[in-house]
Amino acid sequence: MGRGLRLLRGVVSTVPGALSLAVVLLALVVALAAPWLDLADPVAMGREVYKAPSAAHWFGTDNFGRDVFSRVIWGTRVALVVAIGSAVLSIVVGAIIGAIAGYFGGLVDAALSRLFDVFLLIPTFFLVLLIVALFGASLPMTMFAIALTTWPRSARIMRSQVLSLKSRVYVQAALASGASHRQVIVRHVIPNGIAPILTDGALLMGLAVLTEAGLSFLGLGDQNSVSWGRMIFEGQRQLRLAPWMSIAPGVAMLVLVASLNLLGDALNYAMNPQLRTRGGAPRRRGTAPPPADEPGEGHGAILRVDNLSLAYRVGRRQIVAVDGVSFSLSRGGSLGIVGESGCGKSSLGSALLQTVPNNADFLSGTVSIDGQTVLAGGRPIARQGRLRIDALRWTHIATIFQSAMNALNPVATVERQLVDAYRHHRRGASRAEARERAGAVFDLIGVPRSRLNAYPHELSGGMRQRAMIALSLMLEPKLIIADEPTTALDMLIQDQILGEIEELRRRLGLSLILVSHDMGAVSETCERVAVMYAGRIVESAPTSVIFSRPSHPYTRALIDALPDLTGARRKLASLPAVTDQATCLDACRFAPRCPHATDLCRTVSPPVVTLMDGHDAECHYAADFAPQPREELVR
Amino acid sequence: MRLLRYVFYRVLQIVPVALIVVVINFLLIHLAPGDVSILLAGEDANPEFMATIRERYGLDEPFLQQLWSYLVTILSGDFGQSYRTGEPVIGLIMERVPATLLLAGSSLAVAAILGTAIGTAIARRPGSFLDTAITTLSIALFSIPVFWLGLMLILFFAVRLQLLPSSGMITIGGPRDGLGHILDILWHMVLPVAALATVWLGQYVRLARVSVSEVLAESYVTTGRAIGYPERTIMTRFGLRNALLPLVTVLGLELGLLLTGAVLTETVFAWPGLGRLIYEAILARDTPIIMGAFVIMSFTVMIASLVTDILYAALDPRVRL
Amino acid sequence: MNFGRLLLTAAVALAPAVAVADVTLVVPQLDEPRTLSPDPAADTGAYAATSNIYSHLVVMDWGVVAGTPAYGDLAESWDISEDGSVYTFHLHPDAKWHDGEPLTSEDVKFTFDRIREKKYPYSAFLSGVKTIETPDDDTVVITLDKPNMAFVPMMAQAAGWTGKIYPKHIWESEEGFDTGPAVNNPIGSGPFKFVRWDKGVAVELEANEDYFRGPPKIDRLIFRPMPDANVARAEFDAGQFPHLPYDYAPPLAEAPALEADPSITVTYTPSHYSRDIQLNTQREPLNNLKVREAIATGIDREMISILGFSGTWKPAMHANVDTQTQWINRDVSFPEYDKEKAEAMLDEAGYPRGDGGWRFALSVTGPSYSDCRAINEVLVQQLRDIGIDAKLEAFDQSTWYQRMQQRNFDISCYFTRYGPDPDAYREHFGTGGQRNFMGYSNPEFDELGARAVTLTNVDERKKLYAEMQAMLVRDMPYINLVNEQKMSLSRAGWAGFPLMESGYNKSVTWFGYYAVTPPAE
Repeated sequence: MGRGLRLLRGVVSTVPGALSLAVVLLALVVALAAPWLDLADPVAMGREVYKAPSAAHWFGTDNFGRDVFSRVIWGTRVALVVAIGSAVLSIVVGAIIGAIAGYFGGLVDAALSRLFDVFLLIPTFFLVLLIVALFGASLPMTMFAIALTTWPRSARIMRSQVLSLKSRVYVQAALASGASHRQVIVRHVIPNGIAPILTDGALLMGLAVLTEAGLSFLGLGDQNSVSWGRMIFEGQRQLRLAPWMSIAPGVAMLVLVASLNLLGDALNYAMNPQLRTRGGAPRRRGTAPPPADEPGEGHGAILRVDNLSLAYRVGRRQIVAVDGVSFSLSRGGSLGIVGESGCGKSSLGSALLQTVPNNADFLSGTVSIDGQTVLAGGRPIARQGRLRIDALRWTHIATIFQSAMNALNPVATVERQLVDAYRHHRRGASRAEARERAGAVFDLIGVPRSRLNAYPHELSGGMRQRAMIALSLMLEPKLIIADEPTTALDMLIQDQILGEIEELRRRLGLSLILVSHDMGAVSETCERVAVMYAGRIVESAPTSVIFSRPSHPYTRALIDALPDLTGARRKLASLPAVTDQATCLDACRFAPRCPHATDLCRTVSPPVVTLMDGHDAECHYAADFAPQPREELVR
Repeated sequence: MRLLRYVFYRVLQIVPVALIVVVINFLLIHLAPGDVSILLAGEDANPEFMATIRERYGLDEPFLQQLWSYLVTILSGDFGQSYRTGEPVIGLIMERVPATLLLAGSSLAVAAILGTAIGTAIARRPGSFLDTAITTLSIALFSIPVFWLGLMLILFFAVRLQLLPSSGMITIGGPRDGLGHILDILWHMVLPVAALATVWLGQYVRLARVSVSEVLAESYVTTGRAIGYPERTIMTRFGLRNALLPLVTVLGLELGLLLTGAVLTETVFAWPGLGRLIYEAILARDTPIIMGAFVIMSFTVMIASLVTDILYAALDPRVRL
Repeated sequence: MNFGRLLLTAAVALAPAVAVADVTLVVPQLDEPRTLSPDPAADTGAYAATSNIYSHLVVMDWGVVAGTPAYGDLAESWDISEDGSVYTFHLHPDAKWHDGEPLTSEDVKFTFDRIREKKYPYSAFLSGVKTIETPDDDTVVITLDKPNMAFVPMMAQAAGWTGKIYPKHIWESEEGFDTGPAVNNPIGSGPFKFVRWDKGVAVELEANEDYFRGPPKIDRLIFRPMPDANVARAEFDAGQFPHLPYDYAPPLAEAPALEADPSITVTYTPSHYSRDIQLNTQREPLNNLKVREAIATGIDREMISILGFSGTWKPAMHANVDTQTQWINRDVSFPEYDKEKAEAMLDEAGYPRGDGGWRFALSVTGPSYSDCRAINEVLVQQLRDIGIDAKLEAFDQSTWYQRMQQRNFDISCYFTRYGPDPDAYREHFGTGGQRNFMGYSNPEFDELGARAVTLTNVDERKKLYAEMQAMLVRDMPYINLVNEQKMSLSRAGWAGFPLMESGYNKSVTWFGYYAVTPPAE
């Protein structure tokens, strides 16, 4: 039950989570212990009617002289019985029917889903009201009626869980081994799909308490139990005379229901921790003034990066994604940054643009674009309260994002997005001018202007990527960072687009950084290649050199993963999986996966070895590998 | 044209659902105990007279016969007459609709606008103290039983402070037309709208917070930032604009829930709306009203979901009809 | 007074000025009328308006609690034959319909004939009628098949509901009293004329200057349907109308504060009803007289009165209510409260405390009136105190009534009626009586009852009813609990409302506002 414990820890790690759990537990304890607490009899009547709260009666007495405090405490029982009863009933029925719908699919699913729809379209509270009004008010009837309206909710969650579980290996295996449908559903599908339903259970319980109270308030509650709703119902008539009769049970209900809802919320977050913090506006970071010794616009390299480090905070852990990276890019030059996913290459890209998420921190580093420093000592450069990078965006440095599907605003036409970007930076430019510019850019990349009016989703993948390229070119930037621009496109289109990018770069004299996991893509487009592994550049060299004399075992592995001319492709997966970076501070990061690793590699981190001008590799044995033909290294 | 075809198709889908709703409704009422003829004839009535009553209202026919004639009359738009007042059900219901629309609509407008604004604001700083505090508070708000909140408002603003009217929609003997009439209604609306809007506000704050922060994690937002748009533009043109889609969907789907809040609020404040009509009808076993209202209410929810889908399509170019 | 009111005042000032020299009386009522022709079917929303539009042969109002069982409306007087079977009614010679036509005995005969023919609810009170004759325009002679001393009082008591006299010249051509243009455009002969009915808003009447008793003091009478007690209370507090009928009475616990307010008159009106419990004598263990006696001994009426009614509804120890001074038999009483004795009696009856301290289980139900609910709450506690596992069972009114008719209950709160004529006992306790849900059957009681109603000698009748009361206390099919009492509020200065003593015997029906007088300027 390690999962349960982790969940619990997740819940109590936040103040609302811990508090709500405490309240719910307290309510449970109070409900169970009510008979043994030294309370006045909640139903005993007396002559002391309408007494205001006092030491003898903390919450006063009601119209029958009963002790309101005691009734509130006993009311907890009814609330919890209704909450748990309805939730259990709803979950059991819903989970079974949902599992059946999802598991069998087809006609069964269609019919059952229709049934869920019917229940969704019925105003459920009225159905409950109708049932209870017609068939008599009692706790079991109330629970039944509530569950009758909530089970489709559990069923829908279960159904979608099952749909995703169905394809899982162990379910397939169980079926293959000849288990019956019933066994598979009961043993495998339901236990694995139940977690999100249980989370929803807390919310269901809150809903049940409110529904019961609503019924009681309309005079349709169980007559023989002490429920909060009924107390409020009775108190309503006495509002002028004895307001405490309705205040106390209402507060109790509010506290319990809010706690149940907060608990559901906390459980949800504990299962999906990223939900709590993702999104948001960029946070303010400590800034630095521009350094005195910068070359200034038009001077020096187009991009210079020195000792750039970036780390993410995840919970209490810190994950270093970019670790002391340095490189520079000459004007008009092109650099490919290659590595597996998770190596930090995309983080590097967004670090250069300063579009990193809020949980990322610059640990160190200096970056200058077109001779203007935008980051120094890990602090963004700002002058007079304005970030310098803002002034360079799109006019000096633009980007072509990964996953073009989502990189364009789905609710605006392509033209609108191009025009907006143009007019944002060219103040005073008319809409017509901006349109003309957009058309010109489309001409430039060879897309018919008629497509300008399309929404992103109306374009094919390749077209969409071209639209993104067009967007990046709108302001004639000097440097473009293309982050996996062709991933998710089919091979033919990939090559076309890469070709087009390369051609544009030459024609417009742009500088380009191409971030990719694909050695092949980079080799066709870039003059230089930098290979990243675990946050560091482990080798960098001109493209031809990298391919002819790869000097880092990792580079070699990447190159070998390329399809050869016969089309056969060796899987990079033949390498051992990436291990936790934090464990190898005093060693070569690649050592655990390296077929040539020695004790030296495992104990001493390697130095940067310069093999020739412009060819560096971070390996103890770089010099040894450099002259060897590639094939021999992979046994 | 495409829209028409879509609407036609969706209406076709609604038909079986509507039929099921009508039958469920009819079954429930006929399976339940209680004898309507007593209600109609009065307790002094003799058995012969009760038999005439049963005959007149068709209560003596076999069950399937009754169901069939009910379906036929409903199809012709006739929901029968109220047992209690003898007036046509459809008229009684329609008479109450404006009051409910006024109450629910105003509360919804207040809650949705204010809630979206607050939710969007805190979505800027997810995980911050303010975010946690306001999210927690909004959860607490929609955990308040709306009828209890209503009572508390009455207690403080009407009974104690005597500032606002505690119930009803108009002052008896007050102005019946012109500006005075409108002011009078507005004055009576303050407390019920406050109660309903407060509870719904929690819902919308939370919903807007979740939707907006989800959108802000999308890559087109990063594109927007890389382009260099100021945060305000990012929030409106990218964040809120895209987050409106889930907000509108929920608005449509939760109409049933909204009606729940309305019936309870209408009861507390004696607001002469549809919810109260149904509540009174249930207590008085005025079957034609219960059935009519239930069917019409279900139709409303169905139509609302249809309208939501169309609205969604208008807001989101990705959705094709 | 407050900002809201200020706004309103401003708004009213803006509205075109209306001359308000007339005295207008607005009366709130719970239900909207179904139609304005109440004779064909029960219609609680219609009674108030139509009772003021139409006249009746004989009527009764709250004066019944002061001893007047019936008085004449259209009938100026009536004679009863020696044997009590022929009733001769002399009609008011000046009575006229609102359209100017004279009202004659033919109208009365026509109405009663049709009620009997169509089996309308009021026919229950005309069931013993053999013939109706009209020797002249002002005389109606009704001959009964057997003597019945309760004939006039019972007709009078129900007249306010379904016993209106309809104009023959208007209705003769119609199939029944529920068809034709006059259903919702009534022509009556009462103190007020129909003006108009805005459905859902109000029924408006105006004074009938030609009323045969003289014009009323109220010029305009408006009935407003107002289903919600809170609204009505708020409007009364705001001075929108001068009278808050008992249907809207605030909790009795507020009475002291209201009584202290000089601008409000609090009226308590006793009635000829009690609140009691009916016991299902055909069910275990209530079929055991010892058990019924034990239950009666275990009930603390004092507590019920205090907790349910702030002590204003007095305990009822006899098989009658205190207002029926002429008939009540104070010599026989239900047992005094004695918890220990009740427990001992139950032990003795063979029901010792068993598992969990319970002797047996019972359900307690009742109509949906708030007074019965309060009684039941307290009662259940008292029964549980003597070891009976009692539970509340609540139903809507029609389900409850159906279950009572099917004798599907253990104990039910009930409202036994003792007037206007003690013949009511037969309806409640006679074998097969319409309101005998207890299954009580005592041939001796039936025989006494059948005889008592035919006796013209009051003292002889009294003796028989006293004997019947003794039987009820002995057999205990029901247990009397408290005397009903209505509370209503009026603005100081107003008088003559039906619940006020100043309105007794003058109101013309329970809902009559003929006797109302506005405060002197």
